[in-house]
Amino acid sequence: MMQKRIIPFIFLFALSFPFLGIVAYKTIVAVNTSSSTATIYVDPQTSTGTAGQNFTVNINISDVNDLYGWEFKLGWNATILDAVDVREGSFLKDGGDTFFYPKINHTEGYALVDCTLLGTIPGVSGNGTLATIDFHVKDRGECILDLYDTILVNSAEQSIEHTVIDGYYYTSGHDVAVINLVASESSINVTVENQGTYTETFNISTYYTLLTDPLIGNQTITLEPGANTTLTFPWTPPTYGRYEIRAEASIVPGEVDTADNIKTTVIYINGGGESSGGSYSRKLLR
Amino acid sequence: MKKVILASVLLMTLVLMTPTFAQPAAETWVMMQGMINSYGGLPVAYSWCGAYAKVGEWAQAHAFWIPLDLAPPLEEPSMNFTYCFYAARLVNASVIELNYTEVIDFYISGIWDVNKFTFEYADGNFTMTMEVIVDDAAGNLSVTGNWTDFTIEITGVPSIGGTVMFYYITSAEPIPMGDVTGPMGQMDNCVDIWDLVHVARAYGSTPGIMNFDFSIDFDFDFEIGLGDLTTIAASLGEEY
Repeated sequence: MMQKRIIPFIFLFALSFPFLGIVAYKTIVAVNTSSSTATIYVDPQTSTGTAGQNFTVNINISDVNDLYGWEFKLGWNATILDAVDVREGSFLKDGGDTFFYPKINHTEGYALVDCTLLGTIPGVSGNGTLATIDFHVKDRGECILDLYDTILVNSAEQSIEHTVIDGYYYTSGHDVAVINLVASESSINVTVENQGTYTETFNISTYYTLLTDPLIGNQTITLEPGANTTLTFPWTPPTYGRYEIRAEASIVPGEVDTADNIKTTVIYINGGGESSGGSYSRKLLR
Repeated sequence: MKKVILASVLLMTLVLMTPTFAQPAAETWVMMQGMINSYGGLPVAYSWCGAYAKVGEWAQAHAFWIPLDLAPPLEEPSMNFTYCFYAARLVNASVIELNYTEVIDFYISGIWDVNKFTFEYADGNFTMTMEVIVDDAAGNLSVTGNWTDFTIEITGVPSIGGTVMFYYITSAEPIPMGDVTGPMGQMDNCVDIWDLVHVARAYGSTPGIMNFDFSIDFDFDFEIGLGDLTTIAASLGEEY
């Protein structure tokens, strides 16, 4: 068998037990170092990120002898992740000039990456990085970073036996977001979502800017991971005019992705202004 | 009533007597590679012939051969030597047909160029000279014997005969370029790292230099280079 595959099943549970990922990584490293067979693996074994952020993984190789050319496919869940860049690692380049060619299929969620040395020169031996891949987190979730169809070729154009270790990604950390904001002449509806992996308790505040950011209201909620809710803030515009409404979710401890904690919308109150006023037209602008 | 019956019988007879022809597929691609055995009835020392065509639309065909009298001497490798070969190139195809006749399985006719190339190597450098044998001459490539043999007949050039080593016909989609080898050292109907490595090993080589092979010089510039690697790269991952 030219290729053996080790699937880090234990990482499937890493979402619930983040530290298990570290334990599994060490175990797999120990297995690999006890064998002289080359190993091609995703590094780090477990990657985390939050929606809107980027993260990077390396495709590394260890214990290889006379590597002249390599090919791999790396697959992911395209609804969660997108590869934004694939770069050649330094391992083969250290042996001479190379030809590197990545192909990314954004729709199906995989990259086919090939690299070879050039000319009648020997291959490269040892450990190193074959390629580096930058991912953009499109949405929260988890998926295997599936390393498959791997081929290692030596300078005699023969196959190099090797093992393969997949990687694993999951959305992690503290992350809350305002995902929708709808304003009317009588209320502000703010939809917030917990995009992290911990239950969060946080504040949502709404403001308008006609005056110096007068506070419309302030509510405190607790959300389970993945849950969202819409809060209603009763509001009476003090007068006609154009208002920018801003909703803010407070930053929870440990939160990195804070850009989506604030959302704004614009409402235009045309005509009267007091809630007790008679008929007047209102036009909403977003 | 009799007239109606008679007309019906005549119509049915006409229908039954009308020969039926298999409708050709809307799009058919053909790839063929072979070795030239004879040039003007004499054996050749080295050769390669390849054709790639979309039936009825376009074709490219090339042939390279070294007659015995031009074969390089079998001696110790030297930095200074001369390497000569003939090259035939289909310039423009006018007819590209499968099953052209009962005996011709594949047929390309058109305008051909035939040149004789000489590479003079001296101390690591080379000079290339080209002698025109025929220019824009009418000619054809005929594959016969149920895809076992082929001949190339070009006006003003001795007859070229050879053996088909590989052919592939498909109506599914274009045949990807770049499958030259596989893990077993043979074409494996897939363009992958095996092909890339095989061409990369010949990177920088020219005719007469170790690892140069006409079959991997996809851009026919007589040097294995980035253009040839890029041809493979464009089809990486494709199967046929």
